[in-house]
Amino acid sequence: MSNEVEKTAAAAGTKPLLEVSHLKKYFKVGNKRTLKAVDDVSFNIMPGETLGVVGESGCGKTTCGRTCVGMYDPTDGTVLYNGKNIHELKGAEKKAFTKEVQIIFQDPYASLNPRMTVAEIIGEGMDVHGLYTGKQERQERIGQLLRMVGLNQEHANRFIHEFSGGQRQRIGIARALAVEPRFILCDEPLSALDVSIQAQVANLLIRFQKELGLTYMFIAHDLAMVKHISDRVAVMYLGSVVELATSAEIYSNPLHPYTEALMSAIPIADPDIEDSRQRIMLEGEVTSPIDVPPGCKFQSRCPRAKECCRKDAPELKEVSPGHFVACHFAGK
Amino acid sequence: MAEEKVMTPQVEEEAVEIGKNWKANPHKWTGDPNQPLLEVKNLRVSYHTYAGEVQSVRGVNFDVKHGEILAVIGESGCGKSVTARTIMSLIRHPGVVKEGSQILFEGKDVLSMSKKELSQYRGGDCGMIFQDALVALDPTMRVGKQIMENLRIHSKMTKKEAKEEAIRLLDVVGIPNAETRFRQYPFEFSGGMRQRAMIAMAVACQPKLVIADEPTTALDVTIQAQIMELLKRLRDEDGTSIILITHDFGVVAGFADKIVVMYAGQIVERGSRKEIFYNPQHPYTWALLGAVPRLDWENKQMLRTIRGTPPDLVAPPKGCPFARRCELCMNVCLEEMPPVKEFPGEGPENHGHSAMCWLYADDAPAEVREKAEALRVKGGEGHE
Amino acid sequence: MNTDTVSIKKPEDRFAFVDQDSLYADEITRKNIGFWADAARRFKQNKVAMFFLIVLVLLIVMSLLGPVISGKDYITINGQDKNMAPCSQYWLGTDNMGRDLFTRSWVGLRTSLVIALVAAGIQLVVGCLYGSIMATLGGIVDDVMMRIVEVISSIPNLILCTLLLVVFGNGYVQLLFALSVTSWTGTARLVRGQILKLRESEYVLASKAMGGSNMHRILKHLLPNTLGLLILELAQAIPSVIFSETSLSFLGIGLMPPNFSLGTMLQQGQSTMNFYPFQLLVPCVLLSLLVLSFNVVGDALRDALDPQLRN
Repeated sequence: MSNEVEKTAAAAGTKPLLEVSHLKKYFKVGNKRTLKAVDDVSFNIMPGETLGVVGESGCGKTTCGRTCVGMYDPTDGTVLYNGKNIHELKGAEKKAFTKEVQIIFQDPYASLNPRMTVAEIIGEGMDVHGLYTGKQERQERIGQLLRMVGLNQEHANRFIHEFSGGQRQRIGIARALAVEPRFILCDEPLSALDVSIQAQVANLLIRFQKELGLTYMFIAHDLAMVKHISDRVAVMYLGSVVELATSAEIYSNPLHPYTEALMSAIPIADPDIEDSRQRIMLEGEVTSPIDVPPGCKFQSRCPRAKECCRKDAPELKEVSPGHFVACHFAGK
Repeated sequence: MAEEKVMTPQVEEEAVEIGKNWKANPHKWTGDPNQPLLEVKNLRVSYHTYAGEVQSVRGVNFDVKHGEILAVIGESGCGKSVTARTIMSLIRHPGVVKEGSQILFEGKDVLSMSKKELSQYRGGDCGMIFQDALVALDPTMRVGKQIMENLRIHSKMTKKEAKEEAIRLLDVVGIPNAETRFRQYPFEFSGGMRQRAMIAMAVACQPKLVIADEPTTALDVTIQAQIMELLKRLRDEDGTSIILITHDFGVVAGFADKIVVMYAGQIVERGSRKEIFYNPQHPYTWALLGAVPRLDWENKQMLRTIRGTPPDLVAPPKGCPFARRCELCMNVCLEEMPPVKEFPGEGPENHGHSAMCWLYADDAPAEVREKAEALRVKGGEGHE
Repeated sequence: MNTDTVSIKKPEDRFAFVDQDSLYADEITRKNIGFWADAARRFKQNKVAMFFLIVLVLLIVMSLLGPVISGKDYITINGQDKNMAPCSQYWLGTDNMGRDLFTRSWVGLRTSLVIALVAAGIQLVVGCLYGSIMATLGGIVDDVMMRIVEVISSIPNLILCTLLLVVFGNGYVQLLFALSVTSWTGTARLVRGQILKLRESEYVLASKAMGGSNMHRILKHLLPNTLGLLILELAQAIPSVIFSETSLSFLGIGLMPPNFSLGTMLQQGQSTMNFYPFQLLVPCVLLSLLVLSFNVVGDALRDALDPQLRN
């Protein structure tokens, strides 16, 4: 698979910003059992691109994201940022990495320190990396960041419990942007927000990407939103990527049965479409990621499962340019 | 008199229309079909906090007919969940239901029921499905037993009958191996299973009304589809009326008969499913419809946003609550409460479409309406 | 930013569109209130707690000023004035050696308070250090240190104290040591739990991702969010130490004459209870008031500081 990745990268003429190859992250859970949160995942992210990662809860998307930005140490595999293995960075290089890579968290209530004012929260990264020369400059920059996310200087000295979820999430974005990063891991930044606020934040993310040339890894369970924001989408199931393609391709030509089911389960806000739609109903629920049986991970819920699915795990193959699927029957 | 005669055939038609699906359960079918099962009149609920009185619900009126699915849609803090809880008479200190509010269930005021009547009403006539099943189910009690308890409180079943019924219910809501599951505790169930178990509990006594408060918000999409299918079956087979509280227009699109859009404790627009989706009148409704990306939309287009945040209901604005976020805010919107305008729809199912907005005031000039028409999104098409 | 002042001057303006830029929908109407200010506000709302806070302050002030007010010393033995009932010369009477009870009570209270404060302080510092070391190092160190805590806390407190005092003798230092030798284990566990919880919280992760050093994280995030908990722990430790000290002294294994505290006064009063009840009553009332006010104030503090009650 890594060969194909390199080929596509070479074809585009640029080097990927983030290269993830054969990444594994296992957790030990009691009784000598292992939870394979991330199980042999490979992908790359080009500069200025948004890679969306979707999957249901427990599919390992958050663990995968956090391992990719160095919050967790991988069990196996490598993550290269700008060609350097991020888990082996030391000293100044490590510090530079923490400035270039930021995270926007899911829960706007838990991700901001309740004892700090907005100015302290946004200024924290600037303090750590020494991004200003004087108090005056720091204050101006904070004001500028607040205005970028639609708030203003007045809010700087308030404590975060006075803000609504959407306002907090915007403060979280301002905090991430404060250190002028290149790559932002968006870990379900919209799922705790109201619909009208989701749109605000999504628009902000899209706008900042255009204006500041940011690269995103956008993790969410809301396929519609992921498809909307991302250039390419990776669908994860039980720790593995089962399908990876451009977002238009994923929508118009889903090849993995899980992607198809996911797509058909998403409600569309249009009564006529909803009334005439035939849903692919998946039986059962996501199986536990602990002690997964051999073969295809999706076999227990798959409507197409055959004998070979129980024996061999399908590999992620490129079925058409840029469209990767891990299914024995893809394209057949 | 003449009017009554004209009305009668239509009423009968409607009764047949609504009643056709659950002839198997005739016991459900009591009373006049044209009489609403539940009427909420001028409901006002406040919460007392340190910052002052938070007016969560500010004068809400709606009714639910037999076998009807009503969706209450709105964002967090708009008062939809408080409304649901008040219908179940579950408001506790520091919440207060204001004088003059009425909730009539089959003509009887829920708010003035005695304890005994209430215990029959809750769980008996009216079941509730909560967002978080893990909190709503007793963690120290076996799931089966919890359903049995409910059955035994509301009917004179023997233990054995109740057990059989509970197993049957678990089976009906699609829990495999119902007999084994009967003896398990809530934590042994997965999220979707717990939600199913809670539905089984809510419908155990064949309630006439089920209130589902964000029943699928905590669930994954594939499970959400299963649960919504289950709820729909509940209406189609048993004729249960359902009030669905949600923030998700997508869930509502294939599900509800009538939709009520709430904002800042008030109903800003109401109408049939198709009227709301294809002919939205209130700027808030059309903004909401444009704010959610749809799978069949073009990529990376700017979503329609609503600026800012909803007003703090400690000090609700004196004019339209949405005015400050509205693209078409007029002077009058900031000063006075907007009037409710009725829109005559085509066909009987599209009756009762109305919106609370100054754009449609009788004395509003024509150019205002033209601008509104230009900005309105029909059927939720993308914008910008 | 406030557009509420827009008023409609002319009737034809009623339906004029408002300039979109003048509308500001992110306004916060509630007043700006910090964590501590909010906690103080909630505390002040609790009338009972405010009353006992005043009682507490009075007790502390009197323990310093009481001897000065009466103008008598608390050591001089006065043979003629033994066991006197309250009178104009001795406001609360005298004890069996003729010493002024009023003065002695306040001095005894002072001793009890100082012992309680110092012991609670030791408990907090040791518990805090131990707990944070457990949480930060983790792994085997954590396991071993946790087992030590378990062993210590499984020894009955009173027996251990008695043993220590019997072996090392009676005195302030020995008493303080005996009182704090086991009490810190609870604090250590509490701090360990809190730090483990905070370390996984997203804002600490965010700080880590931002490249902040360990020290930065401890000072900016862990400490401020543990402070409330520590204040509570202190408020709850003080009355319990007062009780332990009093019980030990009452049993005659705490302080020895000439040192005295409320506990030793209780012991003395108890022996003459049938004839001179005020000798027991005075230290009794003071002790009850002291512990009661600490408990009520501590409870109110918990309510005021608990973030879950914030709305």
